[in-house]
Amino acid sequence: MPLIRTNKLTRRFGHVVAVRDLDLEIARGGVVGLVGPNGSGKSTLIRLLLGLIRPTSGSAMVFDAPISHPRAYAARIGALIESPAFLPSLSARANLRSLARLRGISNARVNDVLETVGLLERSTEPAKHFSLGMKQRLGIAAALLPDPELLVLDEPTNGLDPAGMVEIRTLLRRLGDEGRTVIVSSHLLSEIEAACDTLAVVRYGELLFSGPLADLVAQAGECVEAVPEHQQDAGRLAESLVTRGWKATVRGENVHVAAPASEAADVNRAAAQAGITLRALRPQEASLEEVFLRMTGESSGDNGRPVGAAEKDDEGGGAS
Amino acid sequence: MTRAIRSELARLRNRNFILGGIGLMAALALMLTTIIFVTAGERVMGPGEQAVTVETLEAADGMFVGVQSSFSMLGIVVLALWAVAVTSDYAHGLIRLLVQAEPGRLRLLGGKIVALAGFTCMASLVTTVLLLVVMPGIAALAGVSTGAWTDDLLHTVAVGYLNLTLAALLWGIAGLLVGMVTRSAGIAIAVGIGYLLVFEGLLGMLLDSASRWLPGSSFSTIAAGGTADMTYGTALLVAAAYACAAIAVAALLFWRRDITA
Repeated sequence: MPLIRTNKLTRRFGHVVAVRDLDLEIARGGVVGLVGPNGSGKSTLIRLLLGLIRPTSGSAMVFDAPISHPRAYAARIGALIESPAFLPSLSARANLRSLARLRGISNARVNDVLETVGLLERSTEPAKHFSLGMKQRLGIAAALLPDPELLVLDEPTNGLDPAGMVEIRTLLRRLGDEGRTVIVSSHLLSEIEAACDTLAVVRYGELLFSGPLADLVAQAGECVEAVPEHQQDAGRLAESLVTRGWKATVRGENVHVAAPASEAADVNRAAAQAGITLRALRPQEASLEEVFLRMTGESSGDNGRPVGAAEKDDEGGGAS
Repeated sequence: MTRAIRSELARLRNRNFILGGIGLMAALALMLTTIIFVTAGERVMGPGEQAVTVETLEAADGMFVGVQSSFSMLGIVVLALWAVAVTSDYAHGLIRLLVQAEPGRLRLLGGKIVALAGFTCMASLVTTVLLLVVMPGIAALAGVSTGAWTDDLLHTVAVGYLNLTLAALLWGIAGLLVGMVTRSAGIAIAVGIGYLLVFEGLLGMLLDSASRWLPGSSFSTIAAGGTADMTYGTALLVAAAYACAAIAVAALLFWRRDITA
């Protein structure tokens, strides 16, 4: 029985559909990454599951209880939603005590979570004196208060220094290994890749992929990176490869070709026939970032647009 | 709901809120009362205001007359305190943590109301004690005889405290409503002041007889223990109706509204 199951879950805000007919299942245990571009509906999905907002249509179950009755499972969930939220004039400890009282949790547990996130020594300081990273730790401490079976963390490494990020990643892995389910929403794909077992990718409120991380990368296949001798030939090379049936993307001075390593020689031949000499030709496995960008249609910010798609878009013919 | 009350009390134990809230209410009460005592019989009264004579101040409940005759100013302070307590949950995003921890939103709201009511009772008590301690001295300075004040002092103080507290609670509930509607402390306080000083004041000038039924007037009537225009009992009924309506609207808004803060 999955821990979370959504069925045609939809949430509209006026004319905007934030979550659209979402069918998602998340199994118990492990660390699950929830990724998608800004505005893809991640936070709305989290708020729906936590009972903070109500769906427009569809349904969802969490711990076998409908999300219309979040009280049935609230005690089993800890969450950090968007950014840490505290009264700035209260100390870290007082803020946590206030939440602990609401949940009926002892003060001893407050000490435990402060120690877990490394804030025990500074727990009497007002939260307003904390750095962004310390506030983030405090937010994680609040999420850990109920000793939750399901932990939902939205951008948990925001504002943390590299050492802090490693600590949080280690903590997430530990929690996942203990049999808890941890859902992590993050823009940092390297963090997701390092910490998560499974992944759910959303865009425009729709689920694009759900399953093991390895399956996603494998599904995306390999690619060949071709580097023309003259940088200005990159665009022409990509166009030439697209006309021969490959999917090619210009990234800086390189051309990424969606093709297995066995087709590298064919790519080289095609370049030669187009009168372009290659300086390098490297078979590569697609990274999660590449897969994500390809899947969500996002630009990598370095001229990474699919040539074929651009041509057809220009003609008003839609995506390739 | 006990958990919600204890949690809210833990947040209200914020030093700034306690000093700001109780201190401001007590200081303002003392200041207004002092002005009334010093200027008794001299002040030019505005429309709807009743003159405070020296004889009134020398009566058994004289020490409370200052607070009673200018209660709307204290009411604004209480309105602001309740509005700030409601809106700060939204301003700091705390509301999403609270609702996630306790999805029973009416329990959360009930806990907040009970905790704030307790805080208001405490603020009224401090104000009453302050008046009790300081007013004989101020009365002596203003040349007001306090001989009658000690007649049945306990009863006078108890009634004065009860009326002060009831009226403060009613203003607080008004603050709860505007805070819940606006979700912004600044706007909530502006709306409260605008309503009292502009809207209800203008209506009072235009519709003298009907204005007594307005919320601010009925709350002030309770603070004063009844007036010539409206009995204490009628004012209690009118104010209770406003309070119930305000709590119902606030609860409905909180229960239905998306938590997007």
